[in-house]
Amino acid sequence: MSIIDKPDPCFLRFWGVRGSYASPFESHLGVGGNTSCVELRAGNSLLVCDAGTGIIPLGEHIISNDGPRELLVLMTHYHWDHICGLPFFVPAFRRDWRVRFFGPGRDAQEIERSIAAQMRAPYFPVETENWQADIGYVEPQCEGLRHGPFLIRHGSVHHPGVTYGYRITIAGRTVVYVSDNEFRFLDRSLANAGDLSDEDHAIFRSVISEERMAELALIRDADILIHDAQYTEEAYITKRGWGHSCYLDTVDAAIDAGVRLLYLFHHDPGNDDRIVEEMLVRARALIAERGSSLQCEIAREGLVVTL
Amino acid sequence: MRGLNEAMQLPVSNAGRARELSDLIATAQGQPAPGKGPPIIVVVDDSSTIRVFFERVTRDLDVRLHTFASVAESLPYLATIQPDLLFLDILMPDKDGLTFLEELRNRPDHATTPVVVISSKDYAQDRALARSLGVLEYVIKPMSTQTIRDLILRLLPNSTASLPAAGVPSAL
Ligand SMILES: [Zn+2]
Ligand SMILES: [Zn+2]
Repeated sequence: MSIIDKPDPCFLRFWGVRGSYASPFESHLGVGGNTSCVELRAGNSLLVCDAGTGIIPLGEHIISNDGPRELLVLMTHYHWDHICGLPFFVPAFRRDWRVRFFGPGRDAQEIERSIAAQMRAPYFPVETENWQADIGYVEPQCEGLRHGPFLIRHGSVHHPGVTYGYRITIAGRTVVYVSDNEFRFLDRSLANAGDLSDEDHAIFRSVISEERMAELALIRDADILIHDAQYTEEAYITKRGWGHSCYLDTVDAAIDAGVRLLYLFHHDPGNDDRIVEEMLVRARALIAERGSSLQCEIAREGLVVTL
Repeated sequence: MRGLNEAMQLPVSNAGRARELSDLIATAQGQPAPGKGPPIIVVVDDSSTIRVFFERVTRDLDVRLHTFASVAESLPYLATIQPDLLFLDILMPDKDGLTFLEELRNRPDHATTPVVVISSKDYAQDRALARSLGVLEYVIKPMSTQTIRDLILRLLPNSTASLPAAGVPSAL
């Protein structure tokens, strides 16, 4: 599809930008307290990335507006911060809605099991069997998924358990959504590996450059990259190996991959508005220092970006 | 830097290549896998350096090594052959290694294939998933040549045949 065929409207909206757990604290509300959920809209096609608490207000919004009665939810993985809004996602309880899910899993049944588990007794009073909408789970396809004008590909990323990042093409533009991913993991493992021979070190320096190419491939030349930027440099010292990136590693990767616009995402609940704003200042300083044209912004709850 | 640097380039023995080729041809012709030959090791890893690393580790072991750069590449081979040991990476461009292993485990011919995971992912959740899929060992990159060599000798005791006599435990 060319840009000329761009459906109207065509935008993305951040409904939840927080990682780990919701943080509805006054000090955090400038950035937002809900956990991961991003809406992508192209005309009458609705695509949702993750189902954190942000999907609750999204659900309320879409049932009270004229618009599509059908959507596809892409799950990066099934950690709580990405699924915990689903039990309160109103469209799933409405007969006139059609909801499809895709995420990690070897087949549709496994995707269904992963999504349904959190609503089983004794964790929740209503199970997914009580959902009234036309619910479906999408079988993995190696050639990628299509949802209306959206073309969707996924790749595995560096985070505990099987976790996907999504490369979404719409109207000639590429949006990449990687909510949870730890960049440059092997570099640091090698730096900490004391007992390797010089020869083995040389081998793994080569493996590092291959892994770097692979991790950049998913985000390469994205028009918009929404990426994990959870930790400050100070926090990352003690939180390496928790599956999230230091925001400066995210900025570096976005520059190296030729990304045009980066949204720092999956903010740590320990980072209040002031800290996140400081991170943005330091991110922009790094971009200037590297002489890059990358634009960098904070993913803020409620922010709408035209595609 | 892509691949091994010049000093690290390792010759792959022509004899080894020829043997691999004849195995592959035999497989393609539908002949049964030679049951009494040296143990078969399969490596599935998108890193070409890791694949060469395995060639080097197994150079003087009596094993047949087959390496594949992706899940898709390995599938036709694994459809007919049950390796004695399968080394599997997790983060690969075409499919996550743990998802692939789950698929393999659901096939009767690979329900018990001995698998070792080799990954840079060092998270408890991946180790737990691997354990639930019957993985023998979970090796975190970077690992030493010696680690992999010891692992092969431990898991495939018959692979020592071509080692120098001093390296072989005394028979009987
Ligand atoms: Zn998360
Ligand atoms: Zn997570």
